[in-house]
Amino acid sequence: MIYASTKLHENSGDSGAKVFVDNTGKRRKLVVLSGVCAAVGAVIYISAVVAGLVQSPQIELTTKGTVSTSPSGSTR
Amino acid sequence: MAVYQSEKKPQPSPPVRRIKAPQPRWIVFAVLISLFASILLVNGLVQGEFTQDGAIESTAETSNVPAEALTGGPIIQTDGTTTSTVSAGAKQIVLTFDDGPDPEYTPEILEVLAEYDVPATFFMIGSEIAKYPDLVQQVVDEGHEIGIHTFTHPELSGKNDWRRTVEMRETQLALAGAAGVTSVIFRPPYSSTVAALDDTNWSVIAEMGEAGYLTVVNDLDSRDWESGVTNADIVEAVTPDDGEGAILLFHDGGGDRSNTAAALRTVIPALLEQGYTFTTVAALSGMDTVNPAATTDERVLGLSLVGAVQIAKNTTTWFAALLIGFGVLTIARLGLMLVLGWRHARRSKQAGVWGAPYTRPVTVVVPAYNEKECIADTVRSLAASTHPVRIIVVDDGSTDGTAEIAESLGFPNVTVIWQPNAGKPAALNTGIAAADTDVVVMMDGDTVFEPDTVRLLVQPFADARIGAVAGNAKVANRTGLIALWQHIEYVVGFSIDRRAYDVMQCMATVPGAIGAFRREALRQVDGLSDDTLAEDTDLTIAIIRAGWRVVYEEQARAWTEAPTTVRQLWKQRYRWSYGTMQAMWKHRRALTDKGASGKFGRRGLLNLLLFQTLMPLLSPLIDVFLIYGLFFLDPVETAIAWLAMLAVQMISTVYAFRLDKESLRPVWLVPLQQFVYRQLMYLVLIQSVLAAIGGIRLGWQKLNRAGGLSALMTSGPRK
Repeated sequence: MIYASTKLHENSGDSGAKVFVDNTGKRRKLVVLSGVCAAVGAVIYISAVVAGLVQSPQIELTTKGTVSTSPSGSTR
Repeated sequence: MAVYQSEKKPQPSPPVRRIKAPQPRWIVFAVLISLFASILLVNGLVQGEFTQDGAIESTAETSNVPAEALTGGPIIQTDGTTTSTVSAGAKQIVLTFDDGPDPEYTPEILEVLAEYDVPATFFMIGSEIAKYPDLVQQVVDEGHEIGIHTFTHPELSGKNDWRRTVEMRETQLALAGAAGVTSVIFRPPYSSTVAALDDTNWSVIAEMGEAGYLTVVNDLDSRDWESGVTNADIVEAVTPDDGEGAILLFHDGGGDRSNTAAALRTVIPALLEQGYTFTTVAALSGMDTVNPAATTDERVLGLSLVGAVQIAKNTTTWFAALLIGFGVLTIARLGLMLVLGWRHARRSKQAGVWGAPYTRPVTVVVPAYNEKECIADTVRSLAASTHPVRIIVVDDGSTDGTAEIAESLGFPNVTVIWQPNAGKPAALNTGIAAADTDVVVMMDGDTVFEPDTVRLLVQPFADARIGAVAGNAKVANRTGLIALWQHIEYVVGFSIDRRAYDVMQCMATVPGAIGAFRREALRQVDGLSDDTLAEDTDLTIAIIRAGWRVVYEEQARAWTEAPTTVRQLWKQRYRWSYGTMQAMWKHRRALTDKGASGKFGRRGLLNLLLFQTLMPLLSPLIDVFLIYGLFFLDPVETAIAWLAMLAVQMISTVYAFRLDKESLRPVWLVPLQQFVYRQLMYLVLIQSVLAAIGGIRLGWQKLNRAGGLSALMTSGPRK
């Protein structure tokens, strides 16, 4: 058996220059923030739709339609 | 790269790297999917074809209808106990339009009304109001009245209290959001004249009357909804007898209303000529307006409703267009791949296509890390090769005695090199450095070759342009659903895709399980890099960009052990997709390069981007859209479209299996693949994309191996 000593041939090694890797963590925070914003937007949208259904359960009108005793049409 | 003797030093255990799948990531994903489903639901409700809900026949039962209503005028006020009605006075006409607003017909009608300066009353559908708020505002601005005609045009008498309330209130909110007003007049869908009142529709009118609505039916129906109706028919239908007044019914939405505006140009001057005047419901009933201003609460809720509908409408429109675009591209790509696969298969049948047989010895490099279960089978299979080979096993710091097992086999042409754990690329580089042949074959330590594999794999090197050759990796452990699904995926991926990539000269990956490389090409690209987790893809792209041709040799088979658990499969695919994206990004400049590199960039990279990244990312939305189609579009057409796509996939799978001379038995699992495996794959991709965007570092994931590949090959599913 041959025993070899070796090292990664890239200059970067583990210094963090691997593709995509962001050692500062800024991009991760940005992704988390974007995800939270997207989720908030989604919740707002769903809430708006649900609120339209739930918060207006009354059919009663505040201003009611009436027919006058002396309209321009003929009343019966 | 230097290889030299050294003392074997005890190595610390390699760091255990765990793939983290933070819960918040999937919560956000679930919320976003819910959002998309909500958007489609809203769109489905407002886009629903309201004519689907048919009117019920009028009955002769009128015992609950007050006599005042049965014999009175078409404007009805009732509070449940007392009822009053109003009719249009002599020579008075109220023009009413139902089922709008419509982006085509409503503006045409408004133009005619403006031309003759006559008012009208529009009984609008709430969903249409929310879709076209600008039209509603225009109707109000031009002095016309708006009435409520429900939100989705159902036959209200057949709906429960909650549904009736929602139909009315949502329409009021839509009106408030669109034009800042509400309405106190109502026309029930499918209503007619007072002569058609019966106990069934009276219950609805009475309920609305108690809530404060005036119900407005009609005296004369223009019949503009009938097919084949002429202007003359309409004029005749809406001209009252003996100078009586009337409320006329027209339509500005809900179907083909192309005759209505044209008929109005005849009807209005004809009635004016006969001395009629045009008035409004407010004027007839003595109210200042039938559209009082909405409250602030109503406006806020109304605006959110209109906004939600607008978002739903636009999102669905754009997504449907995107889906059609991707659908066409997918079919076109599949067709192209099948043709190119067929061309490759024809080429493979030609004898001596690469020139004289390649008989020179080659080196086979086997990187191994804790492969005690497999390494013996792997080395034995290589030792039985019909091609002259030198085998170099590079043990990358194993702690399970892998190197010792390989050494103990005692084959004279096997060299075992042990190195401290430095990763697979480093292990392969060590093997390449120790190789002394023109061609180096690389494989995984958990893979087994057939005796002829190496000989067949290296034949293309007779052609000096060839820099690398991909072999045909096959799943050996075809037991269990997960392994069988991977088997299908491998066969299609190799038997069609790689053949096509070969012909198109855009093969992005020579698989780590079986690939052969010209040493000169490896030298030019400086060996393997660990910049990415997909070192095989990275290397292949680099070789193509260096000007070498990469081809596929389907007869050179390698048998590998596929993951058998979801967890193992997830780990493997997470690394693959993350690594592939890394390689794509690393070589992104190929897109604008000239020559072979540019050709690869514009074919291979775009293929990876479009069909292996962007489209799979859309898959969750496509699944939701399919459910939407079943409920809100034509379910039969939706099912047929889905089945057609499945049939195309089945056909191409069968073709791939035929090309690879595989048993067709597993093909029946393809439909099932759509429900679990596909979802698993796109969830992995989503996680990989998020990891890539977030700059998260991933490490190698050592998969658990059962071993016994040789036994599987002899007893397994080969032909």
